[in-house]
Amino acid sequence: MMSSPSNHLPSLRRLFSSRNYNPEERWRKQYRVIEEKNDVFRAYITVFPKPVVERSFRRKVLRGISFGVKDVFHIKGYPTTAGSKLLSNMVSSRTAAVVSRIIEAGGAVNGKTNLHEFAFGVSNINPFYGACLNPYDTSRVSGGSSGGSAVAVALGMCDVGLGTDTAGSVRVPAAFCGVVGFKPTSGHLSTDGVIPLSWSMDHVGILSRSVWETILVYSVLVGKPLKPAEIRPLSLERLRIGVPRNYFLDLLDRHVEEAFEKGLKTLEQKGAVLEEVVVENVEKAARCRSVIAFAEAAAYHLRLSRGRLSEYGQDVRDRIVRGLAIPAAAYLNALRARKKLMREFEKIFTKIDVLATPTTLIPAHRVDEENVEIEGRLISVREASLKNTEPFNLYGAPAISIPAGNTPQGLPIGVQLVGPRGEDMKLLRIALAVEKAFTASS
Amino acid sequence: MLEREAKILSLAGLSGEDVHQLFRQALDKNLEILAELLELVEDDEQPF
Repeated sequence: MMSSPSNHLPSLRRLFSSRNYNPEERWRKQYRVIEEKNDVFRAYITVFPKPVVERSFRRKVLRGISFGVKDVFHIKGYPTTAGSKLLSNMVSSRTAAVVSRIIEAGGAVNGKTNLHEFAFGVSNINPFYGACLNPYDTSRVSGGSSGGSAVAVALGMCDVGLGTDTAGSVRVPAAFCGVVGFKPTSGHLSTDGVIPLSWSMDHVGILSRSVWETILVYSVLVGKPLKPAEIRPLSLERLRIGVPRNYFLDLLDRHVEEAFEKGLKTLEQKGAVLEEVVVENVEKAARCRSVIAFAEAAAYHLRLSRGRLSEYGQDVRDRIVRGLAIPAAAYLNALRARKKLMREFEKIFTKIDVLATPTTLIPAHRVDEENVEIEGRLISVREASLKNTEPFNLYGAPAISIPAGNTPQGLPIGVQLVGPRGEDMKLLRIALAVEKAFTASS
Repeated sequence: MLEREAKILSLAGLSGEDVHQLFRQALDKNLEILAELLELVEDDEQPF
């Protein structure tokens, strides 16, 4: 059923530095939304009775901003299920490094959000904690695997969501739910205390209503906190935006294509220069990524799955079996191929500042769909969701999805911007400018 | 082959004809993928 997400909370950006900012009142409103809507949308697996926050939070940089944390991040004394029946009774004995940093900086965690079981899937249809539904249309998915965090942000259940992204698991739900989703350069944010999917491609990521919150939180997480006045956009004048003319735009839903083209036109009008680029061999990225991810996931799950495989959901169980059947030579050659693809991207980023693509090939699909038809071709919803995001987990580059309009039915569409490795803050400042341009043109 | 397959699967606590079937199909598919990956890296002289 179509609906509007109705996040009525005032924008943090406007409120944060004013006297009217009252975090406790904001938390109360957010708890009310959780109470009213969580049974339908299933954004949270565990809602904390009161936020986990330091007593002196008012004097700290995050000043009580609330967080919904994907249920793969450990928080000492609270359950961590990873969305699985296997861990339903586990209570964490430590706190993930990034969550500790958020709390030390004055952030307030109000609960653990729903996900695809063990983050090993992209729909967020969870057989144990319920399908996490799209805030714009409850017959559709939130996307995943960090869908709970995206829905919680979109509905105003928290200010910021924490997620993980191994193939697109922050950016895809961000695009489907009309919020911002950012994954930094690999290794920039610690995965210590996070239940892994694929250790060489897992990234901690941030979901928020606007790029402003993402910059603030990212600056805290990398240990260089910015003051609100220091969060400023880069000029779009003469910015070189790479537009790939192979692979990423080959097959797109008509509304996604229109929104992307409109977005590019807007940026061109603001002075950006569009440069066509071709990424050699990128069509091999999906194969390469899935070999690495499935093998690493199967290796991790051997410890948990012995004698308990029947307790996994069917789709995750099948993926673990497929991971076990990957020969060592395939895994090692996928790592070699990954290096080659990384060199291709490095070459491209000598000519451009950012690369732009649609985040997903489609808007959010229906819960019961396994395949979708685009231009007469039937493709899996998995491919339609991940095709444009997964190459950048291989490359390890910073990438962000920004809302870029809606379909005529009101479903959100996302545009992805990708920067070179290590230039995260530059990418975020460009994203701030792009978001402003898109908002002004809508 | 079947015995080795069963050993690998038992490490993960797996048994049953359906699981063996899935494993065999995945192995076939993964060998195809290996061939594709080899094409991509064949000109790579210093792989690691």
